Amino acid sequence: MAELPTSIIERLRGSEKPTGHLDPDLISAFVENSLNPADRNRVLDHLAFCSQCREISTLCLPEIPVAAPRSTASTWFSWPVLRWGVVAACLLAAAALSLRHRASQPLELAHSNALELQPSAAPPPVPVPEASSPAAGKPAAPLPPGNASALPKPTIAHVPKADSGDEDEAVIPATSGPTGSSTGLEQVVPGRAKEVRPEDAGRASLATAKMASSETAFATTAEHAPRWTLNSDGTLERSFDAGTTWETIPLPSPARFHVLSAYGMFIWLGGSSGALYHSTDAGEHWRRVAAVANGQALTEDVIGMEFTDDDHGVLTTATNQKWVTEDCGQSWQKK
Amino acid sequence: MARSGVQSDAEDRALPSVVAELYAKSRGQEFGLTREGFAHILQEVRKKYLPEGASQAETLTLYSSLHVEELVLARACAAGEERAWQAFLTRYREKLYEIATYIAKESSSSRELADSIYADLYGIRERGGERLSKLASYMGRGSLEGWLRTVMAQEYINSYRRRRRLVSLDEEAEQGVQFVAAVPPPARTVDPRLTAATDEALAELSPEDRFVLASYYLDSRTLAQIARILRVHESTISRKLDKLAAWLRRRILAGLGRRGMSRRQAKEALEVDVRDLEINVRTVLQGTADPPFFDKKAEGPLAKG
Repeated sequence: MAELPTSIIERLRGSEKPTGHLDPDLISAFVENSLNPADRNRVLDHLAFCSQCREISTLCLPEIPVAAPRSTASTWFSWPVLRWGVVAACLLAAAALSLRHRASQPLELAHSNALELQPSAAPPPVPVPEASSPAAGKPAAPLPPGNASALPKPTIAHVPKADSGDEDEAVIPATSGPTGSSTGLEQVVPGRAKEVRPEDAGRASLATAKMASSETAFATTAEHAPRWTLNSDGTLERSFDAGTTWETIPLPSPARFHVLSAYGMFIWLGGSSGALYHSTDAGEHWRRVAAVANGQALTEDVIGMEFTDDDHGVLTTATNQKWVTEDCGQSWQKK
Repeated sequence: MARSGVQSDAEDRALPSVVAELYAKSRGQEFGLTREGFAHILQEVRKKYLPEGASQAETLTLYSSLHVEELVLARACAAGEERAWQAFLTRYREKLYEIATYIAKESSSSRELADSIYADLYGIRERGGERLSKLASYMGRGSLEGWLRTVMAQEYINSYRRRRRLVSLDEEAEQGVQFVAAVPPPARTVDPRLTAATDEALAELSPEDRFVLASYYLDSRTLAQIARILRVHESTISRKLDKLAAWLRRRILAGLGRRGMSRRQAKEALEVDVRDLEINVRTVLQGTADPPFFDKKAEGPLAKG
């Protein structure tokens, strides 16, 4: 940044001449950019000479909701890319399972609808762009016949589902274990799910058993998540460029929303009369979540909400009750 | 400017209908606020922000920009309306503590701050048997949440300053205050021509340019903070600061040239650190005999260009 001669800075300081102070209404309207140009200029004119009002206007800037980072531009979240991401994730999971199987000998993986990897066929190259994964940009090398024939029939059927605990256990180690370091199969399979760092995995529920879901494909490639703001008039806004530009997101319901909790591409919205909505694709689609605990539905206003990841969250109602979920809103406990 | 009769009539008809529309939007009925009472609140806002002879069009623009629902809620709370308080607490109780935590950064201070604001909002002070609630001063220009944030920031800064004045001797000793060297008398000898040229250049800046300069160089705000306030990207602020610094330099040099300094003298005068001035700049500069320069014409300020 250009240095300014001290003589200029001294004169700048010396010419500060506040006459009174701005009222909070004007400062807040200025910060919210809701003043007309003439009033805005008048406020700026005062702020230019009043350090106290400048200090207040900086201090009263709303907090930026910090969410998990996202690495690609928003165009990467289109369905075709997701589709290939899912395919890549499936292949990764299959390869990881096979490596694990090779390392620890016979593992029963039989499954009725298993999809076999053909020993002599090369895996199809997956056109996942470079930005999505460090290794995904490399063209998939042909599968060496010898290695391929040694594969113990890994199956796509073992790609876990969210509600399948057994399958979770089968896959999670494969995604983060030390396999594949010297087997030569790293070059065979596009993408390297095994190298997902633990902190990344934890950040967006990667370590959960949603390996094959599109949401996970988002998360593995994510660096910059959208920013969100819920205005006091209930308008929901989203920014994909660190708050430079904002777009209004249509709300899923006429209910009045008071709180939001964003986590990467996941977002929760809570509002009046127990209105609770969830989106896994940065607000493109919404799902109404009917929170029920001990047979009692949530009907009170949701005034507080905190999700540490997409699965674990706590709601606070207007009567100060806490509703806790640990499975992405499928079940709730009242505390 | 005189308004035409047709325009005046149209505006006169428009105002009551806009007020009626805003009253419906404000949901004032829910809190027992009559339409007359609502109109009275709007009048109050108009008096505060518009000059006496403001046109109806200006009034309509002002009214339309107000957060009327929140304005009515705040005024109903200030008037002691129980339902309004419930609605206010439902919406803002949690937020008050969140904002206080964000501003004070530390849990005990933030709770203290939130409690203090809460007391002010509820109006524990009384005058003439009437509760004085701070919410009565909300005018609806910005959102109620933004207003609460600002009020809290003001209170935080005020309380910080009050505390600084009451700092104990022990605390002062810990901070080493009693060992501070005596402040030397101001021995600055700044060439009055430099002062005049600098003031002249600063006076030509637009409010926004000056705000950016003051925020960055006086308050040490980050580019990101300034950018957020002005709703632009921080690279815009970075470029603006670079351009402003260059423009000010050129403008002041030109001003010094007009005041009889040579180019070299002007550059030296500008670059010298005034905080280190123990010597008489004029004496030093008298040694040079370069001809004054008037050749370079400074460009207009950024805002005008």
